[in-house]
Amino acid sequence: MSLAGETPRHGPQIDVQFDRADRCYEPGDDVLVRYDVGGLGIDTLRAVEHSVLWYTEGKGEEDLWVHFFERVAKPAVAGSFRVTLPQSPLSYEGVIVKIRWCARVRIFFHGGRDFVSEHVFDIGRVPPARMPQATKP
Amino acid sequence: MSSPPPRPAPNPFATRYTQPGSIVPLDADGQPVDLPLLLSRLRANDCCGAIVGPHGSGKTNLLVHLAAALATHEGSLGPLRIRSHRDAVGILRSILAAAAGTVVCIDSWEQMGLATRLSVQAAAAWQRCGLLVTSHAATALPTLMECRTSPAMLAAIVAALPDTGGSITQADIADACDRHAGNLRDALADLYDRFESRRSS
Amino acid sequence: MRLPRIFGKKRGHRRTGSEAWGSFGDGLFHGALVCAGLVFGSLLISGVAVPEWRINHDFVAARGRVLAKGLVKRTVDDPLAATTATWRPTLRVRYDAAGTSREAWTRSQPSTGSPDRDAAAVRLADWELGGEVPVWYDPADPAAVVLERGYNWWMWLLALLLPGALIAFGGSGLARAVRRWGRSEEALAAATGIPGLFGPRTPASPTATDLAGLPSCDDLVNSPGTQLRYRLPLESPENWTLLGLGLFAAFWNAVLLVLAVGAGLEFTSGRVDWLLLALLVPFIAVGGGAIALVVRGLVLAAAVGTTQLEISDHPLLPGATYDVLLAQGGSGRIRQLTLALELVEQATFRQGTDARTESLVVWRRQFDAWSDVALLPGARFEVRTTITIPADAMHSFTSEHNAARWRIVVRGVPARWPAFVRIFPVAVYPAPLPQPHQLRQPGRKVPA
Repeated sequence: MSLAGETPRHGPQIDVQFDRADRCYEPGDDVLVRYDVGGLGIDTLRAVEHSVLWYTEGKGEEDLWVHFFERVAKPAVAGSFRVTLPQSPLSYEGVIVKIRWCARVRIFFHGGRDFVSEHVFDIGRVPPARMPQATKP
Repeated sequence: MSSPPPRPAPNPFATRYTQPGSIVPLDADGQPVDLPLLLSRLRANDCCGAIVGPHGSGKTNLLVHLAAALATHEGSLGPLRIRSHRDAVGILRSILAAAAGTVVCIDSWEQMGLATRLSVQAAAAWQRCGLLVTSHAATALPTLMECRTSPAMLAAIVAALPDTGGSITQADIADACDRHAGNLRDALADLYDRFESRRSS
Repeated sequence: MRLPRIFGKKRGHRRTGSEAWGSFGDGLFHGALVCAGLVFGSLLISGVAVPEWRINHDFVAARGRVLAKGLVKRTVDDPLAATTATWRPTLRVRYDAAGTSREAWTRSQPSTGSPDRDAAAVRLADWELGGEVPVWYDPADPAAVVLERGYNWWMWLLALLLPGALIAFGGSGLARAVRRWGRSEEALAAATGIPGLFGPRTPASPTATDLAGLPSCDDLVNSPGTQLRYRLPLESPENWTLLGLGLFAAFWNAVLLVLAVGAGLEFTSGRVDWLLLALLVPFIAVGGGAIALVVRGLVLAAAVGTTQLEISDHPLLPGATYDVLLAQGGSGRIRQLTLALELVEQATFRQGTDARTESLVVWRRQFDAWSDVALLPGARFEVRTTITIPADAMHSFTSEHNAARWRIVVRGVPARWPAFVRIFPVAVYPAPLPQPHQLRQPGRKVPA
């Protein structure tokens, strides 16, 4: 059993399940996220944070927007949260700009360390953009 | 529990994986830089030093790693970058509020005006703080390391990034390094475009 | 050999370092500053401010007779300098305190005294033995008597400023440390949006809305059209370039004129400064070149004429079709005129030693083209067409460093002049249409 204040030598296993197997949602949909922290005792955890956010990825600096955030001060090794998704931005697989939505579960140990688990999902069904062949190698 | 559906592989050359701090600092042979040795050298110089090298040679990346290592012992402030006079005021205020012994880390030292450089040096001396900077040319501060690049270094960086799935070859790496005259930042941006181009086709 | 890496190749999980000890040290340091400010402030208030306030408010006025006088020397150990001494006059006075006659040496206010003994002696000479002077005594301790009242304002300022600055610096740092203590990137982004200058990502505004990332289209719908609902503004950096070039040419040639007038006056008076004339030659070449470029730009702008675009509605929605009115002014003949819709991605990278913005057209569709367009002076070429936004189109998106922008592009190839491009930004919103006043801009960086 892990002692309070001790961080497990190996990262914990956080299994996350969305209520839709394909993880594709439409704007305004509710997304239900269930998670299960494996390999840890309840006394090891100090807090758990749930968040739903988007970030940009690509050739520019990354921008971040937190749509939903909550901190559970009395954590359990399993839990769930439900979030209503916004109208924008839609998930986008561009060439130099990509927009990714994700759910994050971050667990805090008594020693001060934390571990984050990130799971990408899609809002909308925008087709990926293509690199123009004439202008790029 | 069902596994998530397959998603498009991320571009390994996206900023998320290549921004300063995300890449292990390497030397021109592609070997990891001896950070403890650099830290002891820095301490021997009263925590003052400059990382010198041309554009895209890994100075900022090294600075970020050193700042993180310093944070656990001496305490570090930054890395900071001054882009406007407003930034300069904020940074001077931060230095004046810093504890003695803190190492102030500043990126692009040579791009700051003379007055700002002197003010930062005076503020750091007043607070008895160290000063670690990056610069394209030698400065009045002792040179801690001169950064150089090579195709071997770029190859080692690419090997540590997420898998390219075979779409980027060693020839691409050598070509990108050669085309951008050793500027690794530009070379990585070039490889980003090649990856996207081949994914599209 | 595989190198260690911070981000794992397998996405999804990663361990992050502990910031707890760093926050603890930060908090400890700033807490010490607050304590130092409180202690220093308390000492100044109890040692200086309160006694001075009591003298001015509690002490009782009386008349005293001078029985003796002298100078009091006070030495102060200054750790930063040598030991210093101050001198102040003191009088032995007899005065009546609540019906009782008392004798005492006068005290001075804690902050008075002069380092110049002679100056103090001169001041002491103003009092005559046996004369009467106004005094103030402490009703709680009638033996405590002073010759002067009033406030030492610089000491009050010191009492407020120094401890105040320590408490303000320390307090703000302590509040920051408490706020950041054990909190994650998401928590900080959701609560404050204050990143480090070199933070890996830019947190956005704390309030998540349903419309994050959509650009405002207020600037695109504030001009009514003549035939259709809106006249779209032109994104034309060429005009600004021309204006800048014009200002430069005016400034340069004004300076040149002053120099030339000086050289001309010398020439008419019979002196020829060959060095000045030699220096003027390249200046004249640059000034002439600048004028030529400005004239060429003006002629091109006048010859090609203005391009106007009106649209039946705005913002645009995926799958919808819109009427567009294209109006081209000018004179002469345009061999080809095209109208296309484009999606441009824009990414800005500011870390390291340079900052750059890259743009890439990732989608383009030409909706209409016209050949051999004859432009008549005083009349415009006007034509109506339609554009359709693809049903699965990405909407317009803007954050601090990244954007996806839609635009209508008109390209023309005049018969006698160089080709021109006119760009009209438009905004594509996802359905259902949000109200523009609901928009918020994400990714605004707050200076650390």
